Amino acid sequence: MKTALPMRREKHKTVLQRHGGSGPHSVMMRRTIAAIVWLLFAASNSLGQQRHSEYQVEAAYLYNFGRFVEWPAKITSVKTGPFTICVLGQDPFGSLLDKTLAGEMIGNQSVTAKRISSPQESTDCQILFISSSEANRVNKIIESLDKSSVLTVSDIPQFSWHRGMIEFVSEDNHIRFEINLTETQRAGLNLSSDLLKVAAAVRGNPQAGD
Amino acid sequence: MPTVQPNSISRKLTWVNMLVSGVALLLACGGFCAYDLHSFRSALVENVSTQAQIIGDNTVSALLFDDPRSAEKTLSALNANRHLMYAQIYTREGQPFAGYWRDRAGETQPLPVIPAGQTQTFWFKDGHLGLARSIIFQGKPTGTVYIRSDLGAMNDRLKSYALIVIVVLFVSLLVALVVGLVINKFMGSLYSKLETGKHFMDLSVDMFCVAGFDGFFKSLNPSWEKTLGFTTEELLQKPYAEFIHPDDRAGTAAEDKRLEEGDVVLGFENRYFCKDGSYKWLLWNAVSISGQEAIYAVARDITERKRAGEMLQESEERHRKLFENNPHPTWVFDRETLRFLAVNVAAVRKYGYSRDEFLAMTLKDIRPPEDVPALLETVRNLGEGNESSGTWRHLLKDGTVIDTENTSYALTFMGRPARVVVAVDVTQKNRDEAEKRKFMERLAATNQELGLRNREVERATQMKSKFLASMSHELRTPLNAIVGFSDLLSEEVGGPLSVKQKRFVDHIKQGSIHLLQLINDILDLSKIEAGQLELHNEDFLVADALPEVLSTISPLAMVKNIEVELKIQSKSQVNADRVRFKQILYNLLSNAVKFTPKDGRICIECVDDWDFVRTSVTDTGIGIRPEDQEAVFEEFRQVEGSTKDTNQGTGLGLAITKRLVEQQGGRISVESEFGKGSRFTFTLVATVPTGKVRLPEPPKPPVVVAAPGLLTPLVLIVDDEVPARELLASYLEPEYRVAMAESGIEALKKAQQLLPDAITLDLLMPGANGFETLVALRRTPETANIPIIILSIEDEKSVGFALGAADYLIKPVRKPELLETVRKHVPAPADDDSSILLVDDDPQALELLETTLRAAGYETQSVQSGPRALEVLSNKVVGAVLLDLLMPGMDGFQVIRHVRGEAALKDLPILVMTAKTLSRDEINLLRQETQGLLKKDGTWKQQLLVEIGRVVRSKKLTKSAGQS
Repeated sequence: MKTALPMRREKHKTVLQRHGGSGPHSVMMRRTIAAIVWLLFAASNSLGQQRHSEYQVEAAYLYNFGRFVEWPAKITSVKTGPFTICVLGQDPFGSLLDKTLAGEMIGNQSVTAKRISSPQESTDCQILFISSSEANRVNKIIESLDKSSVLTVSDIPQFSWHRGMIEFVSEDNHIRFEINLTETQRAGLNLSSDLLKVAAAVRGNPQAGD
Repeated sequence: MPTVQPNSISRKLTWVNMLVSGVALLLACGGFCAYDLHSFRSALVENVSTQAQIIGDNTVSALLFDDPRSAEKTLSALNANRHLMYAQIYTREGQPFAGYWRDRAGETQPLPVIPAGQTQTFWFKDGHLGLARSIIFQGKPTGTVYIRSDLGAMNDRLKSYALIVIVVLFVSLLVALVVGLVINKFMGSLYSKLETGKHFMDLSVDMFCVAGFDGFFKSLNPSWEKTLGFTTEELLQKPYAEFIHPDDRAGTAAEDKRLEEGDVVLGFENRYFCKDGSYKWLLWNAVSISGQEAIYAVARDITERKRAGEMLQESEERHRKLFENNPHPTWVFDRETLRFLAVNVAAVRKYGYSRDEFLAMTLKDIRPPEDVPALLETVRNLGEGNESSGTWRHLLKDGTVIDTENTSYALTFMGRPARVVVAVDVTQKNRDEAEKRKFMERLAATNQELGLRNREVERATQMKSKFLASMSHELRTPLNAIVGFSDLLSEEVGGPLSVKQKRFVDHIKQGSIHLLQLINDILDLSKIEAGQLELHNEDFLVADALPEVLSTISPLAMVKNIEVELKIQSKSQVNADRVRFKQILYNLLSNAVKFTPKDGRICIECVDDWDFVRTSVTDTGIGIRPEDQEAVFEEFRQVEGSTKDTNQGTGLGLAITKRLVEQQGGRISVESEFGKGSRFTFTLVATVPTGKVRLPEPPKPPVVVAAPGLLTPLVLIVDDEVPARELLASYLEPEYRVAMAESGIEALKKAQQLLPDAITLDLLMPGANGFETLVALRRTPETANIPIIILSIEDEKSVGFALGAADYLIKPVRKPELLETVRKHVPAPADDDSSILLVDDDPQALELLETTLRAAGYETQSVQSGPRALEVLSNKVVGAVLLDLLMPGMDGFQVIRHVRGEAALKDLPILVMTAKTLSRDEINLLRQETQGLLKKDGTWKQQLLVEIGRVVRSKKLTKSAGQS
């Protein structure tokens, strides 16, 4: 592993540079480590206290994403209902998400969570969290969302490489995220530069973001 | 003037001034500082607050997404402001999230408390500003930012304030001090004005004093010291009466008395001693104040004024004396009445009236009655005050009338307009002048007459010279023939003579030679007398000139068996006309030979004598009597008593010799003892030796006598007289062919036709004279190169050479001389290389050319083709080639190419003769390769001779140059 490290690092670096990412060079490596750690945990299937707090953080992040993203005017103006954060597939949050969102506002909209089982149900959603249970179908899901303006978020590894918009990554026991700017721009979403600033990595056209 | 004391008020004023301005300045500066500190603090707080807000806004996302590194990055931007010491961001929960330290990481401050309802709070503490501000995002508190800034900027500002205050304070105090000093001065002058009285007195040039009735001065102004030279102390010590002139003391005492009685004294004068013993006149005004027992007085020094008065008197006296003692009669008359107002002694003496008589008369009385109207007119016209002068006649008491020159000036005499007149008697002077004028006129008349006579004499002299010259010429011309032909006769050229005939001929010859000599001498003498002798000075050694003379004299001496001895010790060159030098020497030597009996001796000596070369000729002849020695140098003087057979001189030789020597800056003298011999000595100016060794003249090349029959050179003799022509021809004939012309015009024609090798030219000919002919010959291209030898009786060498003559001989010319000269200019013809090769395919053309060239004296050889020409050239040396261009077979161009290809023939002159029209290239080629181009047209014949003459002559010249 140690001997192979520089090569991989090199490769990641070129990728990052090609995408104009601004994150530190060690991000990929760390992410890899995080993924391994996560796989270990997943393999042992022990979803303990650690995982619990991680999901709490992710829930808060889902809400906070809503505060740093502008949706196309047609959608927000047509929509008169609450700001909806949807979870597709097996819900890892449980009640954590509802608790987090309770009483919160985005603009003058209240914020609610909604669980859905298929992408077609996501028409009301502003943010769609794709559970890791959907890992095998993720390409199809993304494809089906081509024409919508929903912000897709997932902790499925390599999500942002599969045209997902925001991918949670774990880094030194911290939950961080990577952004695929190409996808967000295609969906007509306007991400605040403050959000891009704190992302672990940003892929895609940097002109629109950063 | 006493110095003004600085008084305390002005000093205090200065201090107050400085204090007030200092305090005011301090207050103003304090106020400004306080205000500035306050506003600076507000600005600082606002600045830090803004920073806090920006930091807050930029770290919201970092807080929300738990990214302290991003927050720290944002905070690190604070280092742009060096006064920010520390910043900290706290989470919503109050936990420190990210920090920034300016210098190094320090301790983390606990979350400051922001009072409820406020978003920020600040405090100044421990030399720093602390400011805490809530971070609000979308209306929700998200965290807190805390910034601490030091007060360095404020301190800097305070420091510069302090500096400015100090500087301003210093400058203003300085200004205050200066103002104080000005005030001080002002105060001083004010103070002095307060004491005007004293100071006016101090400043006055007049002398002020206060004196007590006790006879002492009490107070004096400085003017006293200046005027009298005593110090104030000295004046105060003694009673003032002691300073007064003894004669004036009584008067002064009387005045003092009047003052004591209360009178005022005005204009009193007395004299005071000065320290140096002299006196000063003082004019006094004084008053007494009885209450003070004091006299207040002002005195003025009037010494100068007094002295001026005295001088005026003196001056008047002087002027009066000037008037009275003037040596010329002088008077003053009244302009209106013309009455005499004053007369001087001289007037009384001159005019005979006594002074009283004068004063009773008017101006009219001393004029002849007829002059009175003019007098009145003149007086009326006199301007005011102008000087005027004029000449008048005055009548004396005894009735004599004299001429006077009067000068008058206006003046006021005893209140009346008058004029002062000075009258000068010019009677004698006028008479003298008239006399002188008459004398001058006579003198001028005499001069004119003399001038006329002089001109006549000059004309007569000129006429005489002219007569002599033309006579000599007229005589010489026939003599020339006589001498020449008798010469020929005696040489038996015209046939053998009997002994008797020969003797007769010799007599004719002797007589005519003597006559010729006489005429030559007369001509020379007349030239010298008329100043027409031209000298051509050069530097030469006597030793070099001597042989030429000896060669003439030796035969004569040998006849009489006289020994000629040479003692040449001179090493200097003489500067003289070589020809004339020889003439001098010849004259002396021929005289010596003439007067020395058989078996006698003649000695020629030559020594350097300072700047001269002295040459003497001594003989053992008959000598000259002492009384005759002076006369030997006079014209036509032959010393009596000379033996009959030796007496045959012209009587002119020594006269000419003397003049020739003197004209060249020398002297000639004679010493002689009658019956024993004579010694003639002459000096000539020596050249300053240059140290240059004079090379002996190269030996003359041997005379080449051309073999007759071959190309004998042709000499054209130009002379209007047949005998002269025949004589010259007989001289030249055996050696040269001769052609003759009897006028300039004929000479020109013949010269062009015959192209002679030389021309002898007589100058004096009717029609075109010699010089004109010479010029015409030089101007004509064909004849321009022919040497022209002038033969003339007249010696005008310089003109001749200037016009281009090759040589100049003076008639009568002797045969050897002529031959030598002609030989010099006509090189002897060479025998075999002057033949001309004629190349032409046309036999008629060849014949014509042959005839023409042979007639002109050339040898010719003719060939009819190019190859034949080359054959001849390879076997024989020719002088030139005359080449036709158009020939069958080998043409002219080919011939030229062949000839030029041969090294031996490279310089052979080739003349081309053609009727062909040539191209430019052909002309250029011919120009390069040949010496001439002749066209076969009407004028070819003349041109041919010219060209042939040119190339053949030039060839001869190069050859002879090569030989020598």
